[in-house]
Amino acid sequence: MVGKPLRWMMTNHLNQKPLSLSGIPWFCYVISIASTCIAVGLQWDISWHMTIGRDTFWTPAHMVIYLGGILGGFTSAILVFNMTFFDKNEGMNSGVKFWGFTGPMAAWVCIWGTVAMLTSAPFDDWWHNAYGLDVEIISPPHMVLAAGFIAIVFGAMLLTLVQQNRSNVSNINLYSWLYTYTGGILILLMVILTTEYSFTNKHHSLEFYKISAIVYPVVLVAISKSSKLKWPATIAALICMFHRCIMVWVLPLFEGQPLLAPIYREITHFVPPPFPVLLFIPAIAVDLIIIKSDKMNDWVRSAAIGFTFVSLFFVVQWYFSEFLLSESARNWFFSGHFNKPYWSRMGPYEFKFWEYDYRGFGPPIPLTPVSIAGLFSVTLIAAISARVGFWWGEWMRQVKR
Amino acid sequence: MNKKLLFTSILLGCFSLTFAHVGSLNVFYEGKAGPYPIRVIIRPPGVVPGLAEITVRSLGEGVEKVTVQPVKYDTGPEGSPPPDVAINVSGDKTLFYSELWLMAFGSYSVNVDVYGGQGHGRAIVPVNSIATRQLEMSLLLKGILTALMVFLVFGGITIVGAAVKESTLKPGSKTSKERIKKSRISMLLGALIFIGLLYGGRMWWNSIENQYQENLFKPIEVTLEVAIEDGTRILQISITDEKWLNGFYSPLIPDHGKMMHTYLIRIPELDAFSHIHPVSIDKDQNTFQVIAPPLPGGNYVFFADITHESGFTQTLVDTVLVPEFSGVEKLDNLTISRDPDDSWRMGYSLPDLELDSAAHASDLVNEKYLVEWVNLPDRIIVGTEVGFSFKVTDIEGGHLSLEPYMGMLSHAGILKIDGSVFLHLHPIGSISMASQQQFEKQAGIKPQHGSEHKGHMDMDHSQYMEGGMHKSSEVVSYPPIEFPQPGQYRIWIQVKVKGKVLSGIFDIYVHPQIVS
Repeated sequence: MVGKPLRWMMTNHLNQKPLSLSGIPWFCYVISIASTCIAVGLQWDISWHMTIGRDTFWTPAHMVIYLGGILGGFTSAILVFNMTFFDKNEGMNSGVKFWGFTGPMAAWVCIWGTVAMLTSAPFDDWWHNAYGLDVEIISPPHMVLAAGFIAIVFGAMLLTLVQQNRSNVSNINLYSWLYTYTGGILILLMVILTTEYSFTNKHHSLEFYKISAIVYPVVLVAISKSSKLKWPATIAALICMFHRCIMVWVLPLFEGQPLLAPIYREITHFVPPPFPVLLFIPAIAVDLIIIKSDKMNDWVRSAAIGFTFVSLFFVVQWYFSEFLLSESARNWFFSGHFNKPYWSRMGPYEFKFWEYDYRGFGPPIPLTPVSIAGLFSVTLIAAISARVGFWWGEWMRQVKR
Repeated sequence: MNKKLLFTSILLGCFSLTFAHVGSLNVFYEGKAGPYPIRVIIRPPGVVPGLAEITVRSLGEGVEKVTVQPVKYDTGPEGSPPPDVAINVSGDKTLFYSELWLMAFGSYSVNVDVYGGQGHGRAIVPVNSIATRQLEMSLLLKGILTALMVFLVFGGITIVGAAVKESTLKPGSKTSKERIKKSRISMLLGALIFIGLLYGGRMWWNSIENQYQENLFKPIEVTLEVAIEDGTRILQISITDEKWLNGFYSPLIPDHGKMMHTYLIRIPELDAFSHIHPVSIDKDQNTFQVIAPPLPGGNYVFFADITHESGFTQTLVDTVLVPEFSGVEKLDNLTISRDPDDSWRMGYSLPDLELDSAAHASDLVNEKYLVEWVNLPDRIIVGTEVGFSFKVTDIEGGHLSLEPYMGMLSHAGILKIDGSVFLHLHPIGSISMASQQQFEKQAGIKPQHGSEHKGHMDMDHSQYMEGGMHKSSEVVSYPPIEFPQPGQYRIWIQVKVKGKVLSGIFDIYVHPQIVS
C-alpha cells in the first residue's frame, strides 16, 4: 500500500532513532527548508512586485512560496499518518490527539497553516477582482496567508524544539541551532509583515516604534526563554538580519524591468528590500536580562525588557536611519538609493523622514512625531509584548510532543 | 404612482449611481493605424488596478502582428512598459487579443501598433481607468470560504486545547484531570480570541469596503437652473463639485470645437431631444450657459460629455425642470448666442415595445428624409455585437449629400429609458477625439484627424445611387456596438443635410443573454 521511500520516511518519526544527517531526522531539515522557502519566496515576491509588477500564479517567487507550503503540509501529513496508523504503540502516547488522529503538536500547527494558505488563495483572487489588485502587504486575504505561513514556521520551530526538550535525545545543541534558525525566520516574517510601517523614511515616527514594540519583544523573549543556546535571541536576530542582507545584496544582481504603467523611475534590476533594522542590539539586552534575572518575577523582567528594548532600539535605529537616508548609504551594501518601487515618484522626499503616510487612495495620514509620552506608551507596549513572550516561551520550553 | 412620476424617480435613482460613459466603460474605436484600417474594443475592468481586455480587428489585408502598450498621461510613453504582442485568435486571422493592466486611476491610452506588408502603423485609443464595479461574492465561493473558515476556527481551538492538554507531557505519560480542565478553559479563551479576530476582520473588511465605495468614480457634480431673460430660457450649469473646485481635475479642453457636448432630453417621454453646446462664462470654467432649445417645458435629463487636458473624459449627469416655451425667442440682447451646431427635435413619446418586436427600424424626419437602420438584427442580445449602419434617403428623390456635423459624418445618442445607460458615439467609436489628440501630441505624432476620422464619408455609395451621378441615399456606418444592459432603449441618429441637422429616432428592445 505504501511505497518503499514513504515507509522509510515514516519509520523516522519522532520517537525512533533518526536515520539522517548528523543524527537529525529528515523532517526537521525539510520543515526548516520549508520555512526558508516561505521567507525567501515572500521577499522575492515583494521585490518582483516592486520591479516587474505584473505577476501570475506561476511566477518563480510564488513557486518558492508554494514549495514551502507544500513541504510543510506534506511533511506534517506524513508524520500524522504514520503516528496514527503505523505506530500505534509508541506514537499514540507521544503525540497529541486531534479529531481522532494523533500527531506531533508541530504537525497540527503546520497543517493548520497549510489550510490557511490554501484558504487565502481563492479569497485573494476574489479580493483582486472586487477591489483591484492590491499593491499592499496588509490586506485581509494577505493576513490569512500570513497566518498560514507564520503557522508553518512556528510548526517548524516546534518540531525541532520537541527534540531539544527531550533530555534523552542526542545532538541537543544541533536541534537548538535548528530551532533558533527557524526562530530567526519567524522574526524575518515579522520584518516582512511590517514592511509598510518600517520604511527607513518612517523611522522618526512613533508608529514605527509602536509596531516594532508589538512584534519583536514577544518573539525575542520566547526564543530566548526556550532555546538552549547561550545567546538565542541575539543569534535569531542576527540570522534574520543575515537573511535580509543576503536579499539586499543578491536581488539587485538580477536584471528586471517594470511591465506595468505608469513607471515613475528607471529600474533595470530587481529592487531589494530596505536594509534591515539593527534588531540584534536590543536582542543582546533581551538575552542578558533573561540570563541574569532568572529568579525575578516575569512581570518585572518584562518591564525591564520593555524599557531596555525601546531605549536601545530607539537610539540605535533613530541614528542608523539617518545614516541610511544619507549619501553614505547609497551603495550596494546598504541599498539606500534603489529600494523604491517603479510606481513611486522620484524626488528629494526619498531621502527625508516622512511626516505623512501615503496610501493607495485617500488623503495622506499624518505620522506622529516621537515624544517622551509617546515613547512611554511604546515602552508599555513592549513590556506587554515581552510578558506574552514569557508565557509563550515557558510553554515552548516544556513542549515535548 | 403615475407613469411619469415612476419614470422620473427611476431616472433620478439611476443617475445617483451612474458614472462616466454612463452604464458602460467599454471603448470602441474604428480608424487607421498607419495604412491599416482597424477596429479596437477595450473593456476596462471596472477596478483599479485591474486587467483590461483589448481586441483588435484588422479590417483590411496584410496585418501580421499587433502590439498593445498602456500609456498613462502623466508619465507619457517614457513611463510605459515594453508593448505586449497581442495573440492572433485561432481560426480568425484578422482578430488579435491581449490583456493589459491599468494600475492607477486616471487617463490612459493604449498604443495599438500594427505591423505587416505595408510597414508599421499606430493608433492611439484613450481609455479611462476608474473604479465603478461592485462585485458580489458568489454563493459557491461563500460556501467554500465559510467551510474553510469553520475548519480553521475549530481546528485552531482544538490545537489550543491540545497544546495545553498534551503537548507538554512526556511521551508515554497520561494527561491529568487538571490538565483537561485547563485545556477546556484555554479552548474557551481560544474561541474568544478567534471570535475577536473574526469580528476585527469583519470591521476591517467593512472599513475597506466603505473606502472602496467612497473611491468609486462619481462624475463631477453640477447644479442646473433655467433663468428667463427677455422671455428666452437660459440653462445655467454650475459646477459645484469640491474636487473640481479644489483643482483635483485638469482644465477642460474643447472636443471638436466645443467644451461641453450636452444632450437635453425630456423625461419620461423622451420625445423632446436636443444636442446643445454650453459655453463657459467664467475663466475658471465653473459656470456654463446655453440657450435652451425651443422645445416644450417639462423635466429634462442632462448628459454632458467633457474632456480634460489630461485626456480624461467624463459625462456629467443631472435633471432640470425647464419652464414652458413662450413661443418667442429674443436672442439679440443676450450675453451669449446660440451655437450654430445646436440641434433639436420634437419627436414622439416612447412606444410600449413588445418584447418580441424587433424595433422601430426607420424614421421619417421632416416628412422628407427616411433614416433606416440597415443592419438591424431580428433580436438584439445584451453584450453581443450589433451592426450600427444607417441609410439616409430623400424620399422625394432629391440629391442627397451628407455634410460633416462638427467634424463627423454623424452623431448617435443612445439612452436606456430608465437612464442607466447613455452613450454618445461617432463613426470612429466612443472615444473623445480631443483626448486622442492630447495623447497623439504627447507621443509627438501628427494628429490623425484628417480623412481617416471623418467617419465613412469616403465609402463607396454607388449601390445607393439612383442613376448616373445623382444619388438620393447615403449610408453612415458606426463600428458595431454592444448594449451593456437589457431593456428598452431610444437612439437618436443625427446627420446634416443641406445645412440642417436631422435627428432620426429608433426604439429597440435589448434582450438578456440566455443562460443555458
